[in-house]
Amino acid sequence: MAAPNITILWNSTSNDVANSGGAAGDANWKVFDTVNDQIGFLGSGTDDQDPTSGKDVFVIPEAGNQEVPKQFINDYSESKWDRVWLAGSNADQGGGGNYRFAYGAYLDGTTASAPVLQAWDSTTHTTSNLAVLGGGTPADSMLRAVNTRAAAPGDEWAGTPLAGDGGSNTIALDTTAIIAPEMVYWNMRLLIPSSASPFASNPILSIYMTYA
Amino acid sequence: MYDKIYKVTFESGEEFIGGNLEFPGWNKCVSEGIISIEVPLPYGETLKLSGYEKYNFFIGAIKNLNDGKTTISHMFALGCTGSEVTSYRITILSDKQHKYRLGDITVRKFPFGKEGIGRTSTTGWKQGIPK
Repeated sequence: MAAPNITILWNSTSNDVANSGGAAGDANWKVFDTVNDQIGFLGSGTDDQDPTSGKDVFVIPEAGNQEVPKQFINDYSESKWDRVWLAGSNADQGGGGNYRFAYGAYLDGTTASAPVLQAWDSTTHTTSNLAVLGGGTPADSMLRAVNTRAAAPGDEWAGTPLAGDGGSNTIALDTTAIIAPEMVYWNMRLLIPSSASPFASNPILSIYMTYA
Repeated sequence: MYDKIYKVTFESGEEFIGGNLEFPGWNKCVSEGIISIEVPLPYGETLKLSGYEKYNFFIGAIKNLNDGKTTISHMFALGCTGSEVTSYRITILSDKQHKYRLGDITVRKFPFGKEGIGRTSTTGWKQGIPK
């Protein structure tokens, strides 16, 4: 078998439902343009579906940790911010909750083991030292994710800190290899500690897969 | 090195030659009577696995969400005896920035069922002839 093609999708609505349209998406799920679209973790002042809305920054909390309240796709083809309504947790003042279907990937073939979601500094996949990825301490990564393929994560889910390819700082997107074309799902959050310095960062999300 | 990426030798003396990095062809290999797998390495040497009860082989690749590009990064040859899997990960990428260089082999042992990336199980195991 060859490597499966992977299509990234996001749920553009507040309907917590699976994607019924495979690689094409459906009324809820839109296809992520990996060349032009971007995922954005932004402040509350960013408006959904408004092409004139600018990026509202998130203010670092004075104490404790706080989740960036809104997640968007910078939808290049429509020139607007499209909110991922179900993204995030309800913990740490986040804007999400017990939602299963926020982000997903459609694999059109089979794999030899479960695909794995990773985060890196760049497309060379060599380091994960960006401040947002923990500054060299993967457990401190602000980017957290949870596999929601089989079940919703709970209202105040914490997520796994993503950074590099270490087993404890990645998430498997299934419990077994992919044996037939299917969707896998995850949810994400960005948890900012009061100790953070201001940053604008572009870490790379990747999916590691195997095939035979 | 990226064609005929492995050779399987059977007890009968017959051989199965693997494909390339994009189409390894492992699913076309017969699942019985394997006595060895040989994987040619970039600098002329060969990695040979033999004596295991079961064998597996697959390719590792990584797809970026920011540019959509997929990069082939590793070959994996695995042998299993009892409940212990020995995994040989061969680095394919050749990049000065990487910790592991082209042809480097990382050997790890896992409980059977935890040998996959993310500590999950793998498919594709084929029967060998143990020593």
